[in-house]
Amino acid sequence: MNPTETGDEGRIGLDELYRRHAQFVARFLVRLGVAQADVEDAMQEVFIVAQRRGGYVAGPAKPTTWLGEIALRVASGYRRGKSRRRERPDDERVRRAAGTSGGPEEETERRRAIARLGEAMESLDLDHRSVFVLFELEGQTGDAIAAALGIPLGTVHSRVYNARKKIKAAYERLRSVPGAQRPQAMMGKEA
Amino acid sequence: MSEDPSRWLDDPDAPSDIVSDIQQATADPGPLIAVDAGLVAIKAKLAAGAVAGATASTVKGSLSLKLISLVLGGVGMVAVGAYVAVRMEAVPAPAPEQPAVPSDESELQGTTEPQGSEVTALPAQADERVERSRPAKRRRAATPVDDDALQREMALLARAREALGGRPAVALSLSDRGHRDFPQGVFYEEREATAIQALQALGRDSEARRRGERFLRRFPRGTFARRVGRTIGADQAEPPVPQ
Repeated sequence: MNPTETGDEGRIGLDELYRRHAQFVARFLVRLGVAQADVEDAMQEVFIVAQRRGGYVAGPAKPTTWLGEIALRVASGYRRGKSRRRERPDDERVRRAAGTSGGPEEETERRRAIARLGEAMESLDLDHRSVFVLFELEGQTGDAIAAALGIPLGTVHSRVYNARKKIKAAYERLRSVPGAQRPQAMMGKEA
Repeated sequence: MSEDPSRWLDDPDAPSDIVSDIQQATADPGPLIAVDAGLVAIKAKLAAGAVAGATASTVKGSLSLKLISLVLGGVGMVAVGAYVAVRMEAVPAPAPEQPAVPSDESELQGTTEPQGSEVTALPAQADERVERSRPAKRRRAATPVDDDALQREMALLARAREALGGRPAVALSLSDRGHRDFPQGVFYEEREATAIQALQALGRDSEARRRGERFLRRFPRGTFARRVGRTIGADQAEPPVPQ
């Protein structure tokens, strides 16, 4: 049987898994700090590892968190072993966004917000960063994260707590940088 | 079971500036990905892995090439694929038991970037030349490193070509990245042709023309010369007919 096809009950074949969740994996890898230029390679590695592990089988972990755990390991290799490249704005994405929703100013502000958050997340190690991203940005439950990462629920909660502390501290530092781009909310608060 | 804490997005006491940035981030769809090309590349790598360690290393190369050729479907890919197949298998034997065809061997192994007429060799002719030049016992598999690099290079090219359909900026970026990542790669010619088309699609006409003219000087009789000529509006003069 073709191992990439949907097989046993509860098992999702490679094609379906990839088509449904490739975008999530790509986004998650970026949020874990993998450079845009490396994302597609890293994403392929994630799905290759997933397939070699026998594919996703329905269980306590959702497909996204299950893939997230693999992505975390792959991202670790990319962050550790490869030179960090400075990101360049993705012209195509800027163009697409500008053409579909909001104007260039909104898009610029959106990109600044993402960059700011990304910079703040750089203060987290990968374990904390992955839990923070899955919980706060991807809206995963603590149980699903715990099942996927193989850690107790209490550890998930403590990582969320510690990650928040570090993110807050990082934003404090960003506020103190002269000339740093600030969101409206931040400027309003301090005025 | 303890309950999850409120997410910052749902918590009115959370820092508003951070929440605002998280809202922006969650609305971001993430990087653009070439779904079909990515899936094919994954399957090619899995297929290559499945036969790794077996004696079917020749199948390994040709299987990947078939898969990628299916995706690319380009006429040039067939010719270049044949070139690659030859290159992968044509590892020099230390002491040939029978005379090789000298001109063919040097042509096939001596360059890192194909030069015009070398690439345009017909696949059947190329295969025949390899068969003639090496006894079966002497065939050697490409090293895993070579094969892996080749697959990555092919996958990158597949993505660039797919992006050319509607995302020329991505196609250009991937093509230029291919040049950087695979300076000794075998798909230089097709990658550069893709980059030139992408530049033209982006409206960067002068850059397209500059690179196109350089391309045509370098590969005047290459498989992609006509396509590049059309792209930069220089196809009035047909490329020279091979001797």
